[in-house]
Amino acid sequence: MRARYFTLAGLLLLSSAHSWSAAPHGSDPSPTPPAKVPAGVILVKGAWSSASDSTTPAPEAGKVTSRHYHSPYFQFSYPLAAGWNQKFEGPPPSDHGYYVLAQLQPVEANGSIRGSVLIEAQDMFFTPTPANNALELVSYTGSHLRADYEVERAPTEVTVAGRSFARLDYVSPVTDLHWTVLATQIRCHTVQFTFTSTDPKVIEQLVAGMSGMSLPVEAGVSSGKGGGPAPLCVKDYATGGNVLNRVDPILTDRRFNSIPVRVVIDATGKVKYIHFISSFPEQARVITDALQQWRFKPYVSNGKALEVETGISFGIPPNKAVISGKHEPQLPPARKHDVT
Amino acid sequence: MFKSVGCSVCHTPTINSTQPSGVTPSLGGAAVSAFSDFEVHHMGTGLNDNVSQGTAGGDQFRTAPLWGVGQRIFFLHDGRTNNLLTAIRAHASSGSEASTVVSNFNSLPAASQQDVLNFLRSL
Repeated sequence: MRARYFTLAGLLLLSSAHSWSAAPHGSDPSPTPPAKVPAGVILVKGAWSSASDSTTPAPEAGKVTSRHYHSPYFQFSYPLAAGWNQKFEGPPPSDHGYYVLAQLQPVEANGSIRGSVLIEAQDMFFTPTPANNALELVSYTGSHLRADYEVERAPTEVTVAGRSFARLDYVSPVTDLHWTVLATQIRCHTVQFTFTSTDPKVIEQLVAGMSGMSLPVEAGVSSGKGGGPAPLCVKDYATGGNVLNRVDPILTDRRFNSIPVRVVIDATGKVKYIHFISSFPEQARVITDALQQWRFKPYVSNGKALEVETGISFGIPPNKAVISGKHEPQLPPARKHDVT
Repeated sequence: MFKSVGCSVCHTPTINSTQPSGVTPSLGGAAVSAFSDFEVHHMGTGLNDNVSQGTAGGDQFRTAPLWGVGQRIFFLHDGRTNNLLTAIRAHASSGSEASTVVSNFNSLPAASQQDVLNFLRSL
């Protein structure tokens, strides 16, 4: 309540200051109406994604147009089925490296076709699931479904648009909702398409529509480790003897979040690009200052030094991170994971 | 049905039990059906109030326990509605983690949606 009170007081002060400064000398002293906080706009953000430059594509920067979803980072395009579009954008990336890239649904909400298409990505450097690739991730999902669901098609490898995907079908007998999951791996991310509908024919049509996708050469259920125009992605490259000089960031603010970071290391061993998957702005600044001083042993393949992409975790380890926040006066953050 | 649609991913029926009690042993170790995971989630532009508390941004809220929701008159963090269906649908907006689950709910026939509402009213 205290934080809410002070925030409101701050907004009032700001609006008052704005009124005073806006009135020119000698003019009508009547104050301008106080500015309202616009509806539907998130002004006060928590941990969010950011990057060291705005030109390098990031996983979350894909776009839905009237005809397709295109991801410059993953280098794939998915053609939208006729009558489908995105109504709501997804949430920001999670601190486990999970992205909602797009969520599609029929434009006519009460029409005969009902269902949804969810395009997701999971950064395999930060996944909490014990899986090393897309096939293992889908297999894990299939073998850990809750009792409310029944597997209709066990995880199998299929070919879609010339690339290998892992496919899993399951159903909720109570609601008669069907799910089909198709996943492949690109740049060490599992890129997953989840189709949901009460009508299996609708799902099959959507799956068939995936044949019109364009995908990078690297895409595959267990390949997908960069290369070509993208840097190679190597898990845990920023460890051990690969790090020649390391400067740890000093995070002074009282935060309880984990900060997953993807970095691109150039052929000379310097950090070229930093993508903060989830961090507060001041954390990003401090970590950027530190990472710019890191030096790596260049990644060499076939006698040639190459750019490489890897993941580094800062802040609180993911399994101990706690987001403190609203409506919790009776539940201090430190206690949250004490209960077993 | 509540589970199958996906509501229980965040409104988890039971995640833990009470502490052992020497005063009232029958209440010790009892399951607490709070219908919350007590996590903080992004709820999107529709529910965003631009108020920050702790490290939560203006669109982040701790999952409200549904224990007793059937007895409540107003719903959501600001009590903006007294209609349970409106409250469910308000969970979907840009930036919300619940949009897909609301889409699943909307995919159900009206009778099944009514079953979900009846269940919530019974809590």
